[in-house]
Amino acid sequence: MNRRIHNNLKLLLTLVLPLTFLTCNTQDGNPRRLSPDADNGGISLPEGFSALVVADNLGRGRHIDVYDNGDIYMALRRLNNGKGIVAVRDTSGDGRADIIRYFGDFAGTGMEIHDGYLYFGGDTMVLRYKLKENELVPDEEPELVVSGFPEQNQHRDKPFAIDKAGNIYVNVGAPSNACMEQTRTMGSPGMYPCPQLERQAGIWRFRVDKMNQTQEGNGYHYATGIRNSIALTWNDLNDNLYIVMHGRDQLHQFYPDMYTQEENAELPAEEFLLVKDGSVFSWPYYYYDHLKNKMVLAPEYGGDGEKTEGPVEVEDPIMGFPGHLAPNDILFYTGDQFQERYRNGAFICFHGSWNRAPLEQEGYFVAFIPFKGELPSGDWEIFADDFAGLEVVSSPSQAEHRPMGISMDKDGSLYVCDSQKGKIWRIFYEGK
Amino acid sequence: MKVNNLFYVIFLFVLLVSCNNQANTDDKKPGNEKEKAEEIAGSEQDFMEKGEKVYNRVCLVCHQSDGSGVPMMYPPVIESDYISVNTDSLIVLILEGLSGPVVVKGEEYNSIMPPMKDVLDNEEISDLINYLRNSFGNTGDYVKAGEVAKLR
Repeated sequence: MNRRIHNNLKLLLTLVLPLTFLTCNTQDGNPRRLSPDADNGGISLPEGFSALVVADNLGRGRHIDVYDNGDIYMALRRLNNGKGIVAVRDTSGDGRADIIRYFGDFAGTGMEIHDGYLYFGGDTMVLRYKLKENELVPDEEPELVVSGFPEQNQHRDKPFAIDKAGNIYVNVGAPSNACMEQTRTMGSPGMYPCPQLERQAGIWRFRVDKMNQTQEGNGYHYATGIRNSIALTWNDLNDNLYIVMHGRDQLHQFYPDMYTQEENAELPAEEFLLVKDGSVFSWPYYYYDHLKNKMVLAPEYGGDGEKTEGPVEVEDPIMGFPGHLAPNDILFYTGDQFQERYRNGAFICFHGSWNRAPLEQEGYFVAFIPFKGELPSGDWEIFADDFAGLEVVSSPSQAEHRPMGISMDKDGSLYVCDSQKGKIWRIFYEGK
Repeated sequence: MKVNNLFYVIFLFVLLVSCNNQANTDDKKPGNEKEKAEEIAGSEQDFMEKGEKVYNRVCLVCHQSDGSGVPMMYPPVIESDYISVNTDSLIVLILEGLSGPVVVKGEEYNSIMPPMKDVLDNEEISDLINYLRNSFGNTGDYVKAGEVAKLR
């Protein structure tokens, strides 16, 4: 065989081999032929889905995102060896972590990669780190995107969403349960107007590429009446902000004559919100009762569990979930790996309840809601379950895992992370 | 004389009984440890039941039925130094509440516990403390309602 033919053959093979791979890729739901864990990492999934554990015991995970090169970044609620972000890389192609590195000086919740930067939401600020293709850990100091948020004990996380136009929408939670004169104190009335709505309990918009912004100097007050939104995302298809709000707690504890323990366990709804510029939502004057499908005046403002008339006009949610389940992350599925019915629908991580006590706790699962256009096209359903590893969860610390953050790989797999120990699952569709 | 003697014996007996009664109400008199132990044994059933009711009504929602708290939000009351070690600071914690960062069993918590001084009376607080000190793996001295009153 002469040299030229040999070279041509080599060239041909070089061209054909990747093509064969690419073709295989598009024909199979599980493009990288990942082999799942025998027990799917301890979680249960719908038929045809499998999971593997990417990494475990990383620390108390919050939100998570994946870079184009497959590197995974997860924010931590507690510093681990003094660091608040963990970076995970798979070098062998089996989907499981081979390199784990920690960096960042702050603990926090918000985590999203946008335009080559890793954005991180701490307690009073948003930072960004420049990512480089081959460097798992950013080697430059972070830049300060926004600061100057109020210091607060309750609901201080600063998760955020980023839109296509380069805006970042930051959650500023209410510093209380129900804007009572004395926080979480029985018999204390609600303040009207609630002064906490001025700089908190809403969404503030900033530029994603402008440094050293402050809430008071640069923030645009985008929406109000939102008690706390750990789960928020921008839907690129219909160009809207979506939030799943944490509803208020302790209806029975503060109003035992008005609400039974059973009603307290179920009420109020965790509200799924479609947020427009200038939206006004329920907190603190009302709560949404998903059993009666109506907005109800809060007892701190003269409500009796039935009254609907109140001091301001507010928008209804697009869906109400059972009380206290703690929706902590949301993702609209834009991949093509999962079956048709999942496309453009919403996956929501429910962290699991604490305020259903003394009744058994609920949640601790990932739910799915089908969508058509801007609105849900069907009821919610449980997608991934058994994170807690228990039949009955009577207190949240008993749960082995609590689903906390969700993100999508470019191949359409989902990553779900946990806040108890710091486990990351990769969920993929294998077909029948 | 015999009658006088009888009166004298009765008088002495009465005096002793009243002395005893006085000792019962005064913690500082010697012999009070035994008294206190007997009193505790007698009322144990009582404070365990009453203290648990208080716990279930005002504490359980955050600290949970098994005392394990809520991860990253509310600290556990299991095997807790806050409960077992210092009576006065525990009473003040319950009366006045607590906010800001605290470290419990190596984990930092930064939430709010509302004051209970307007929610619970002295006896409810002492029952609660005695219940806690005999539950969830905690230890500690028996506390009387009067000790709560002094710090209120």
